[in-house]
Amino acid sequence: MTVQTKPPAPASATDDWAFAKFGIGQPVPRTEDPVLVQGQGRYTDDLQLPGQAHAVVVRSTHAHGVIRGIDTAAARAMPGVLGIYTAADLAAYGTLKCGVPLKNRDGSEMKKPLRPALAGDKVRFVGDPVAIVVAETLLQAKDAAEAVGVTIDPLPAVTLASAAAKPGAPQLFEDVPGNVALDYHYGDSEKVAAAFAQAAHVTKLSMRNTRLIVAAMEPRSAVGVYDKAREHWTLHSASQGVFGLKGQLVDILKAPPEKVRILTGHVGGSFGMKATVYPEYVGILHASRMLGRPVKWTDDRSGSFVSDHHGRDHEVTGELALDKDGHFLAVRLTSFANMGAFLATVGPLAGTLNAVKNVASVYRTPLLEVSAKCMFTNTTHVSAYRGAGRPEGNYYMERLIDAAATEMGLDRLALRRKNHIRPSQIPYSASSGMTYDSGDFPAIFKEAIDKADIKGFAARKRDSRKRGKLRGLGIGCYLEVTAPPNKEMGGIRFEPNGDVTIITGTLDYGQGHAAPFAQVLSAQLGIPFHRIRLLQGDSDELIAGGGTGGSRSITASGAAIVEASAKVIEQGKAIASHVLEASASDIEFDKGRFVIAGTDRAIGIMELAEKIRGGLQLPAGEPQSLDVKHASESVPSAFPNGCHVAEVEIDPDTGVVEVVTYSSVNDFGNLINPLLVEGQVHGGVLQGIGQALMENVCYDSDGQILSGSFMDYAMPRAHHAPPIGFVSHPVPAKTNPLGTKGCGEAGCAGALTSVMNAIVDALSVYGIRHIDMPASPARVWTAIQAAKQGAA
Amino acid sequence: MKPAPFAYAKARSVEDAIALLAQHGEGAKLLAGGQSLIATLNMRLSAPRILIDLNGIAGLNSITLKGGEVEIGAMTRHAEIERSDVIRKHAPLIAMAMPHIAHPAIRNRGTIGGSIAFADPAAELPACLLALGGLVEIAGPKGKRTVKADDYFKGLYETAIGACDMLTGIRLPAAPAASRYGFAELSRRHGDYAVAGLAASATFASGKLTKVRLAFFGVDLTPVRAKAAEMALAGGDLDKAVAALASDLDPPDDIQENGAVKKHLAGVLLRRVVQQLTETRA
Amino acid sequence: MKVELTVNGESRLTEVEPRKSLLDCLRDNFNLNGAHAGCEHGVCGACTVLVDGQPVRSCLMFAVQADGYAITTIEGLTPAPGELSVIQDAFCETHGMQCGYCTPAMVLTAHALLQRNAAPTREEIVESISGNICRCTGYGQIVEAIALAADRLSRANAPQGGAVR
Repeated sequence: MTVQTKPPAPASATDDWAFAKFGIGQPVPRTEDPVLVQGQGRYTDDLQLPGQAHAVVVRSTHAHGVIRGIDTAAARAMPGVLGIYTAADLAAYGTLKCGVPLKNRDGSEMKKPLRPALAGDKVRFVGDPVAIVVAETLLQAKDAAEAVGVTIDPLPAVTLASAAAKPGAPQLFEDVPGNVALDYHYGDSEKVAAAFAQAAHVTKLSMRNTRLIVAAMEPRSAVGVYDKAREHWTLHSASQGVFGLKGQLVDILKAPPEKVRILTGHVGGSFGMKATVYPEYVGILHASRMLGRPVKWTDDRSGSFVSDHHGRDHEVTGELALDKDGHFLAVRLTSFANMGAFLATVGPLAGTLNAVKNVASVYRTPLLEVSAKCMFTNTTHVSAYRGAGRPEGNYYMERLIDAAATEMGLDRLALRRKNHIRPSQIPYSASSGMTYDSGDFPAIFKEAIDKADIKGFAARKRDSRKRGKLRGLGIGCYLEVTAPPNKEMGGIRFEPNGDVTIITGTLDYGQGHAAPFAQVLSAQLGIPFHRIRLLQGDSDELIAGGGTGGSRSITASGAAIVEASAKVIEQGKAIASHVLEASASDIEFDKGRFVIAGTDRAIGIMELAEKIRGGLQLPAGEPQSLDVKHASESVPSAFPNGCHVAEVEIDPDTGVVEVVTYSSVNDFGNLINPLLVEGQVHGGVLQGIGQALMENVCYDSDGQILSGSFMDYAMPRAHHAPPIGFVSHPVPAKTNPLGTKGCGEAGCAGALTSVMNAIVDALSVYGIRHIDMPASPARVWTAIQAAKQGAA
Repeated sequence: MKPAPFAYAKARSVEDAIALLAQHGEGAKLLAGGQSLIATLNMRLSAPRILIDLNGIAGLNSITLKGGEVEIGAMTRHAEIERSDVIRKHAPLIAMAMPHIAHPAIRNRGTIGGSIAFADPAAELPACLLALGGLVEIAGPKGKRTVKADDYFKGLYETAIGACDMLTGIRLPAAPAASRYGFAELSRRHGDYAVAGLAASATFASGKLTKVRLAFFGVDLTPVRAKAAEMALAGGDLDKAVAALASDLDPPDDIQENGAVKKHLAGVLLRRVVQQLTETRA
Repeated sequence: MKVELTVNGESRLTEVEPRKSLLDCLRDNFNLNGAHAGCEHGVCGACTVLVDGQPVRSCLMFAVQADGYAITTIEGLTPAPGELSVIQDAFCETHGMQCGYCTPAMVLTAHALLQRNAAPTREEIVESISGNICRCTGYGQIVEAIALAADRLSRANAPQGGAVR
């Protein structure tokens, strides 16, 4: 029983049906799927380069300590071993850097200790790489790595950010007193304090935003290739965009940009994690230079638990000031953000600037203050994970609102409605400094409430009760500031075989950019969908590129493609004027055709491209092809928003929580491809449910990770996924040509808030007003017992 | 995640396996389904010098009803047990436990002998064996012997199986007409090892439970009988039985739960399982 | 050690260390890269292949153990170059994959399910893939894909059913 792989039906450029089927807004299946579904994806570890050797990293088993010696003699003598490299071997290279330009509250620079690829003097977390062993085979490298003797004098370790701030805590760096990397502050403290002083009610919650493992299913992998003759470096590696990664690597290798190339094939998930240079990449590139052979390194899962950056990990006190009618006056967050042992490239962002931008969400909140101490601890570094501060900010706000409603005896729906920013107030200058260009928050809220059948909740709750279960309903409004501004490339190339290639600096690691970008290009230029290819993973092809992250791809690459298309049209008019023997100014572009205005004389863009390929002679000074290499200026951030509603059932005898219904109404602006957008929401929601219910990184007092395997670190499985209702309520963005807002991270924001609010709602019968994530059976049951005893 | 090097031998018979064990001593490990063992090898938590593969031994994967007993060969895979009519009919407790064991792909490879021999304290099948009062067939250098379930579990991952012994099968009393079975477990996620679990067998007639055997798992270093609770149940007092768990069980803290919570959960499980034991049959 | 494995209907001879997993043997020795290493401790299911038609973790089986079995990898499911199976096609249609890393294992698992149970319920579908972790999709569109494939296959097999090619 078979079906043909279905390339989209060939269509001429003027075929309106084809435009409709592959047009903007259509649920076009992804063009990469037939490859992936056959197991023909080419992930980095699938590469087998001729002469390739294999690397294994020796990691610290101590969380903190002084390196007294690294004995490699026995390992060097083992079969197949080609080389062993330690910090001294890499001394000539630069260090890994943090790119966040924030300053301390007093205006001084934040502390950015240098991070060499391999630890030389001290180890600062379990997993800190200390040596790289290269051998003919992976098994030989693995065996030799076990034989490397690392002598470490252990030091006391600290893993919790607030504990690292205490007097007497272990110090990670001599030049970072008190372990404070950054003492961040935003807002007018005096005004905020005055608002709190005048408030009729203040709600205060202490909230822990759990540390998470990113756990992309594909472990990180890279192949380093040094070409001695050309003095040229190639890194094959997963990434979220090769342009930025190349910039980092050029800096570390101290090489001219034209001597460094990054190639990324298929990427098996990333969620923020694979975006930057990791120490292993420097190590294998060096090894390749020393050995004159390609060197491959692939992490194994136990390595990835300590070597991939982690996510979240904030300890937050949130406060909301309200007047007597429930109007929000001010919100204040005071927090510790755990950076781990080093600053990742964007490590400090989530707990600071992104908390500022996202906490006020869809609500009129005149005043805002965020204080965050970014702390070094003896743990794996922490950085971007799906949302990188966006779901966190929304979560704090939504929890505060529910708690305030309970405390003030107000209806939580009414309290939200009262504070929603109205469409008439848009453009709205938020206290975060952001200006919201679009949105209809009250309408989306109403639609979400209707879709969730909140009126029927009481009956459902009674039904659950009959089965011995507590039922709760939670609402999670969100607004995220997406698309961090960055230049993006829009390249369009007409290939010799008649295909048209989009070249852009975003890079999908599962999102599926090829189809929607082709939909955009097809709509701009009338190029048949099936002739369009996407090229995204070769740094030699890029003149700019912000990469994928912060839900920016469709907005940034979309704008770049639209702008590049306009340039193609301009060039095309000039060229067509010679073919059609008319003045370029008389030529119009309409649905894929260059037409002499007011006549029926025209030439299609694909036909024109064919003529150029055929050797069309064009005068000097005229464009010689339709190809465009364009770099767009930054597109402003966008503000996707929505409202998710979850219902949970809790077994009070065991504390087991189940998410039983889930619905969502979302404003992502215009949808280019709703099929893929829905997939993004599903995935984000389940990751949110994972954080809400089960995911949690634990350390013991020595800094050993206790949740260091998939047996110990729980992630959602298929039966944790409720059917997820998805409704699009688009209010197009006004700040980019496609009116898109970005959808990749929103699911997480909606789920953390709605699920945790639902759990607290269910537990409110015991007087419980907050419970921290993850709401594991043990934590829920213990909270119930404590509340019962407190009440007794 | 690659094992340290080891030698590999394929045992042709039970005798062959035992001879190989005797020859290689403590550095040898038997490989049954491998669904726990290979994971620990991959993580280098264990590094035997030689693996003796039992998968080529004929005649060890069988499920037979014989003389009032269900005999299950050591190398019978969970999936075969799951689909067996004999098990469903004559060892229903095992059938009840099966869906809780990991996931389908693991059950396709894992064996009942491997599970009972490994004796993970949070695993389902060792507790079922105990609840049913089954027998374990062990072959060793001095021949074959049979060990009662009550005498089989010795400590954490320690059983009556000696260093040069091999488990060849288990025997379970075929379910009599008035027999009742109950099974419940709480785990972090379905398919994970249990935080706490209970396998139970009893006879139920005229509204009374007799011959109650309660085997808890995930609450101690081995699966454990709750004998005071069994007596209380036989006396018809569920509340007393739940209270008796306080003396029957002494769960240590583990990474998932503290002991006090586990003790409470054991009581919850007991109530649910007694419901199963006493509910009217359709 | 020399081993002779039957992979996708073809008998293949190769040399492996005893400690080499079936997964690594398929990838390194036979260049069959559709099975993926996700955790190598038997939890995530990304390495799933079919052994005598049943899903098995290829990270929890050594290559030296695999002789005598019929091994099917994702490469063996594709009917012919340029063709997809009904299940594969359904995964494409419903957006049943994102990064694609867990996808071959999901498809093989679905294949085994539908061989055994032509009309699975949603619960049965969920149970069948419960041992396969997907970090991207949230599973909903995978479940949808399997249900769609089951529906198409049953209609194709029904006497009056329209031919699905």
